[in-house]
Amino acid sequence: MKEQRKEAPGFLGKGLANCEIPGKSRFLHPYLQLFFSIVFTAAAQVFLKLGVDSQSYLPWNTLSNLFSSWVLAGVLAMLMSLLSWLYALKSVPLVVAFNLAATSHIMVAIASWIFLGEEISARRWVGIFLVALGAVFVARPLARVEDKL
Amino acid sequence: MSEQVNSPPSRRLLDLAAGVLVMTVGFFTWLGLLHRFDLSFLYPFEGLDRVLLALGAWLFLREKVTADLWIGVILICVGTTFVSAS
Repeated sequence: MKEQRKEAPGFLGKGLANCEIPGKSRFLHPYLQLFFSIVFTAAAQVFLKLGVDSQSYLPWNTLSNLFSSWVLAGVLAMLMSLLSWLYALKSVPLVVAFNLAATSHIMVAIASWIFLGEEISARRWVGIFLVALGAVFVARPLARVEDKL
Repeated sequence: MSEQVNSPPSRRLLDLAAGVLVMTVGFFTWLGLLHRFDLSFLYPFEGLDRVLLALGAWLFLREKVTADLWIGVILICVGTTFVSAS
């Protein structure tokens, strides 16, 4: 498992070739799980936003608000995202996973545009794309650091 | 990771508890911020965690800061500046 991580210099190419599929289930394909993880991350943010918007909210005051169904759904989605992320990392190289995780910025933006009806100005789009691009650039050095830990 | 495995269980439990505590505080802070701002405005700031991670790696792990790390950190900073001005 560890060797597989280290011999992954490519952005995506070698990672895909190296990827082992446990059993025969397509559902358990690591890259599908990675995709799920990113979708769940975006969904969690949308759920949480819906949750805090649905009530006058001071989270540190009223713990009971935590159990609004949207917030619970958000927490659940975060948990799912974490699980599929950890599962995917068993066979996907960390660099590749980090690169793909950068797309969550785009996904969250699109989701908040579609589902939350937020208006995103051109300037904000530029900012979001710059952040996502920056996340791709730092993926390699940070993956090196995390491999060390 | 190797140091973690060798440290005594009590220490590891303490580390875990500290991690969970910090994450909980972070989560509630995030909820509070979400209440106040648009998600599309707030989420790009989450990208700054990579900048902090890079800073931590440079400060505490004495990692060399490579060119791609610099480029990425600058892009993220410029990006969040754009978002904050939108």
